Amino acid sequence: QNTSTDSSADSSSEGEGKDKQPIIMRLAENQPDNNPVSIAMYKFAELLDEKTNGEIKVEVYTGAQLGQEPETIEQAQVGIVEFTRVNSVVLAEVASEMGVFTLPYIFADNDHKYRVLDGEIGQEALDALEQYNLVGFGYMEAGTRHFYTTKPVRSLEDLKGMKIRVQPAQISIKMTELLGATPTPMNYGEVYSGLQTGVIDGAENDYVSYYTSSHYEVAKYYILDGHLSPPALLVMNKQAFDNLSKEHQEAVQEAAWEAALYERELMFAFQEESRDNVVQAGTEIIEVDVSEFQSAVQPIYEEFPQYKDIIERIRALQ
Amino acid sequence: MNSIKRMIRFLDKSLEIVSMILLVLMIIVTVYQVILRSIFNNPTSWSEEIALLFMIWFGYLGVVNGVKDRTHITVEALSSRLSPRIQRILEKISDVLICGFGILMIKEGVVLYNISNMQRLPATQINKGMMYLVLIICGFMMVIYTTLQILNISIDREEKLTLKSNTNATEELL
Amino acid sequence: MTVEIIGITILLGIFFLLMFLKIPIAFAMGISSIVTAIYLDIPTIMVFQRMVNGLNSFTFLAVPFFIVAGQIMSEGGISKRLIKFSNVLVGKIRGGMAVVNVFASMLFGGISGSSVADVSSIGSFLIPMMEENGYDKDYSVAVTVTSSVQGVIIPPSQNVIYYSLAAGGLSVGKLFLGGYIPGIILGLALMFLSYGIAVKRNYPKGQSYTLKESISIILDALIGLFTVVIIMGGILFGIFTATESAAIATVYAFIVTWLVYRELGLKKMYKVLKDSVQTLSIIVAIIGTSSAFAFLLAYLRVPTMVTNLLLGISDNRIVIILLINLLLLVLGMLMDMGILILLLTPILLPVAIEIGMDPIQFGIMMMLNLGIGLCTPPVGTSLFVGCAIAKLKIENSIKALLPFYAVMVAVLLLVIFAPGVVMFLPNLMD
Ligand code: NA
Ligand code: NA
Repeated sequence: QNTSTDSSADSSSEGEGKDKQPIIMRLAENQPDNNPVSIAMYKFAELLDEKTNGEIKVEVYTGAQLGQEPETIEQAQVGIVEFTRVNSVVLAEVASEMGVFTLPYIFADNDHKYRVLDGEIGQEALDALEQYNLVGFGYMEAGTRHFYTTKPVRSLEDLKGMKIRVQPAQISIKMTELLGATPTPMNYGEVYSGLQTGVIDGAENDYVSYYTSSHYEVAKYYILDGHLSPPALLVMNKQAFDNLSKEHQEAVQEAAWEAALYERELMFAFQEESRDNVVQAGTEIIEVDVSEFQSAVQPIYEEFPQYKDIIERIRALQ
Repeated sequence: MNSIKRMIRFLDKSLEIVSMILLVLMIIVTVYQVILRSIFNNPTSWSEEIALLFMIWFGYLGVVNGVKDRTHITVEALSSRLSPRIQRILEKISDVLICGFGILMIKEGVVLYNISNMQRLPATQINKGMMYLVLIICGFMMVIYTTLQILNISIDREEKLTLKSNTNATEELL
Repeated sequence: MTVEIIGITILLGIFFLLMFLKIPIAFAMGISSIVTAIYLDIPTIMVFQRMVNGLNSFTFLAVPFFIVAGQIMSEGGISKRLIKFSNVLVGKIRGGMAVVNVFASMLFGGISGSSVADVSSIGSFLIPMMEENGYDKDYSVAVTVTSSVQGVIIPPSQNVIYYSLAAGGLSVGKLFLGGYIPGIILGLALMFLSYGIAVKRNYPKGQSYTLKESISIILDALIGLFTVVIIMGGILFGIFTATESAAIATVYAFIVTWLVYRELGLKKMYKVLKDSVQTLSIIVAIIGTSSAFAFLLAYLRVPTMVTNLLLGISDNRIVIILLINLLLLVLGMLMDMGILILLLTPILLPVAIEIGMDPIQFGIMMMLNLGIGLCTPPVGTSLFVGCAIAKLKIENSIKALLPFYAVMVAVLLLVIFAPGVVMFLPNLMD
């Protein structure tokens, strides 16, 4: 199955003496340059350069120039790029072990989330990536997702029958159905017009995407239900990682961890900034009884029996 | 030889029919999506995914068709000034290159099929390998058709004649 | 650095070499991508992965639907009724059909949001209609392809949404407003040009009809014309999306021509599908391999490299603006819009703001610029689609396109140097 990686193999071939050529690696990122995750990826490149005295150079390709996330994961699997930063929702389509973090209300709050992710459970999910020819590093913040709609939603009842655009992922579709809304898959680029003309009644995303996509202009009600909080992470082609020297491997791990911590800070700040911006622009932020939402999605955990044990362990850390 | 020709003609026909069916299915699925959503208020999540899958299949089967009929866009600004003999040589070079492209398409199609084979498309739960399987199939057909062209094997496609007379007929009508 | 330069040389060199040796453009792009990938030590699997994924977009689905709809309309008798109908309306004007074409793009540009979808929808029935009425193919293609650029400026436009995203959350509402006046100016300019050329080339005037004839023509065409109403109304009232409207239009046109006009039997439907498959195969092949080609251009950092090169030349405001435009035009000729928007906006927007441009003005300028790129070789998807529909060689379309390029560039200069054209409507919103 493994065709890949002649590229990484010879790029890391042993050079002689001090002035050997640096190892060049590629990182694919789908957000544009100004997004916190992209900034953190540049930071990762910078940190790795420092830690290896310039022996490893990472070229960051932002703005989905190398393809969308499902594609860049494949590219990292076969060695077209060495690194890619992806959301766990997309990665879960390849590595089901990641799926548990994309379940609704799996984390009680951000403290709990990072207790789980930075601990044993998070590490096990990263270790599992090996069977997909990937190596995973520290988790990053990708925001907490809420619904936003063209008509006010003050309780679960109001959400009934609304057509909500969701990500094309099994869990998102199931969850929306359980909440009584109608999941309506739609190309992200069509959502703005869809909200404007009424093809859909709402969508769901974190503050940052809600703001940067301008969806707040056409869907003025932001419902603080916090249904999903899936992390993002940096993954690497396994051969490319294995071919590195022990010191270089450690440098990559350290740089990725530091970049992830940096990203979390940036992202939390950017979430707040985006919230302020949409409020200023006239968005009404609606507090709802989250427990109502939580109990409505309960049956979803039965739909994924493979996560049963791990869910219990996650709950135990609460 | 004749049985080969018969087989190729069968392949021609299947290629054509399957492409057409996929095209029609794409339209039907998309219209069905609208009907379910706007009339029955029951949006589907599978329709878009399946329409896209049909499009990828239909598209690349079409590409093979274009290789077979030599209908892909070329630039003739330079080559049209060359002697007919050199033009024939260029045509052969083109066939050989496309044949090579087809061989690589099979090889890499297999790899892509294998890595995506264990994944499912999110809404339909169809094996994601289906997205790349078309590369393998079309690669094979491209190799077959270009090989026939390289070896100057004529298939005597009578349908081509009818197509020509057809267009003549429509031109007269207009 | 040298690796990049050699890579670019290989990619472009082999592409042009193969293209001039009469290798189909799609395969010239695919093969030059393979060779470059081998040189760069990228697994060649990349080319084929991109070929499949470049097509994997719901927006692109509109293209096959519109092509089939256009074929049904021309085989099934809707088109010939619409020709008569447009003759009733604009028949006394020389080049009236071309003016109708541009006007249709203005209306349609407002809903499709994609210039390729525009070319395939309007082109697939208007290009054959124009040909039948005595217009030259190259002229028809030039009119159709260039007027489709309005589609990326007149809202709603998906590319404008991408720009707002890449700019970090600019108001889409304001950007949409900013596109109206430049879009309409472009439309009017293209109409005048089309008219001028029609007079010069002495294209026929349409027949003139008596009032009684006119009324019966209008009534006869009405049910076919309803296709347009369905598309526009359906989208405006939120019944379906732009892509879905294309599928609905296809089915509607089929039903009308089959049951009402009774000009489309199963046998003709077979021909419709066969012709559609042929046209589409050409488009699909080019879209597929050009995705691999664009991947390598991005991988080789061509956009960034060229940007740094150009921005280093001068610090004069006018020179910088002109250089940015030159850059967008050149890259637009090589790569597709979506990628360039996400890629270049974060690099160029700060520069533009520094020299005093409003982000909205810059956005519209960028859309217009990249839109022009869609109509130019070597990588111009709108142009390819137009030529594929007309069955015209690309090199034979260029001469007719030149005056149209000139008009588009003139409108571009207006957008650059008269910001009020863009900013008037958005400023009303504050
Ligand atoms: Na538009
Ligand atoms: Na172009």
